[in-house]
Amino acid sequence: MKGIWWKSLTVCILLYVILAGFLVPLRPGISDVSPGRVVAGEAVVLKVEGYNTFFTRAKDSIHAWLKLNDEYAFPAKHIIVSHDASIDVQFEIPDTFPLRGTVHPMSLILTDDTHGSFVLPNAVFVRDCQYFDPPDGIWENVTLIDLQKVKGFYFPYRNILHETIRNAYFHIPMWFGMIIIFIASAWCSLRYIRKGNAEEDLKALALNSTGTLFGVLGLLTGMLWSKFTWGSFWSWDVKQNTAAIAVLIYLAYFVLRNSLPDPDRRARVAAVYNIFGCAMLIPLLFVIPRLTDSLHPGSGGNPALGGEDLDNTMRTIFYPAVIGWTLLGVWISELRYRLLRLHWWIIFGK
Amino acid sequence: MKFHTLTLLSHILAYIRKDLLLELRRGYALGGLTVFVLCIVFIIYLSFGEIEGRLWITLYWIAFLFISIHTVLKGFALENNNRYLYYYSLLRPEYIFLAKWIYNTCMLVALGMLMYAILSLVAGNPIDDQGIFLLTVIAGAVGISLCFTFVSAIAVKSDQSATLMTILSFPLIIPVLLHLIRLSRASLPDTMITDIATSLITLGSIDLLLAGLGLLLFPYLWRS
Repeated sequence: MKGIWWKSLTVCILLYVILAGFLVPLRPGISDVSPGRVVAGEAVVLKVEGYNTFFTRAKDSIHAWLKLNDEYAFPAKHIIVSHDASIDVQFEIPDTFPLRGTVHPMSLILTDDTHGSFVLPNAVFVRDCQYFDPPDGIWENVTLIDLQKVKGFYFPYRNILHETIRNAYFHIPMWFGMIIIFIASAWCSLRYIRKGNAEEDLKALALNSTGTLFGVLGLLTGMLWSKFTWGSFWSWDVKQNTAAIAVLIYLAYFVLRNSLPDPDRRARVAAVYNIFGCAMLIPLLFVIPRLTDSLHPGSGGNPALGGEDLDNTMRTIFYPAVIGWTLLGVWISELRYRLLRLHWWIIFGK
Repeated sequence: MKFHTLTLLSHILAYIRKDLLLELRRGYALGGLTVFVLCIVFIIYLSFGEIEGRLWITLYWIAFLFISIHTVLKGFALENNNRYLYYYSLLRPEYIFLAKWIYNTCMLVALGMLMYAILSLVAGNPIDDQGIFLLTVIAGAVGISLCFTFVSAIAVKSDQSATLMTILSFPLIIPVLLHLIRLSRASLPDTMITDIATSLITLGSIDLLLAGLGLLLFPYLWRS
């Protein structure tokens, strides 16, 4: 069998991506804190819900702070562990805050020796605050807080994404694969119009079918993700729209092929349209989304691919996923191309 | 070199003159356009009662889009293939593309202005900055005619050219159309859009891309 090495490589990579992508647990995180609103000067018990946490194991080593800004925080008075996924943290909120304003959002920081440390931004809103400088004794300097490092192989816990962060190994590689396959297809079409070899046109057709399949799958995985994070399957986000239009360009390619009966003319016209369409993907996918606000990461003030959304743990699966899915696309196209070539040989001879 | 430029110009001008003569002899572009615009305005007026600024602009570009599909395609479809074989023996395909493009651009600018007049007459004129709107129409005519000239050259190869033209051109024209609508919104009185330059530059680069592709690929299309 020709090309057995890269085909087995594809299978291995995809097995690794699917297994690791679904089995590696999320890092422990804080999913909820209640009450979310408190009054300055009162003693409160915050009920903290954990995700993937083992609070009973960490018991005595847990420390908690409420953080005001990059300078100031104050520690918890008392911590009661009720079970693995929930603890009660008692705080005495001070009357005076070292920052002007009456309402302050505060972040909750937890640290212990089992999980390392986690932060929930804007966990609690404190109202009726008074400004006082220099601060009370209860306020500590944030830089002195001793945060534990996380051990083990985890995916990051993100508050809106939760478990759907695993979609990063399916949704994003689909677009990488689609663009690579479409460029390869345009290259084949370019060779066709220069040399007139019918096999190049069949290659372009096969690659375009796979590329369109990847585009549709990218849209579908994106719609699922959009439902969980943004609230509806179609959010009229600029990238959703332009991606759908990109798929339309290639659907039109198939319509064009089917409407031309003469095989020679069909091949030539389709090749020209294919190159034109591929070039039009540049403004569609790379220019317009950068000019408009988008809900996607990387635009409209949202963080880009990277940072905590794609940490080093995820990279060890994400990059193989891109290579694996692209190779699978090439593999499918190769099979489709061989089938098309057989049909061609049956009709026109070798 | 000078001789070369002269032949290019004279060839293109001759071709444009031929197209214009054909158009004037048939002469239904103007009538068709008037009916089309009146039809759209009438339907919208019946359903909305009055036409405010943003709706006006949307209407304008919808009408413009369909009229340009029709106009540009007709320029190709009205002559039969044998006559193209004759043109091919006379002119280089790049010249034909350039001539068609220039002719279509002028045609679309003229039709755009006419439509502007008709829409203003029957639906009022909400445009505040006429200069920006005029600039948008010209920029739009350049981009749309580039894209449609190329696509209609593809579409006439098939028997169902009108259907194919719509299917092929709609996704390709979206990047241009998005910028046009954005630009023309900047001409409304209560506009929030200030970075006209960015839109114009992007539109210009898309036009350049289209022109380059058209000039490179048109000869291959022509030969079949």
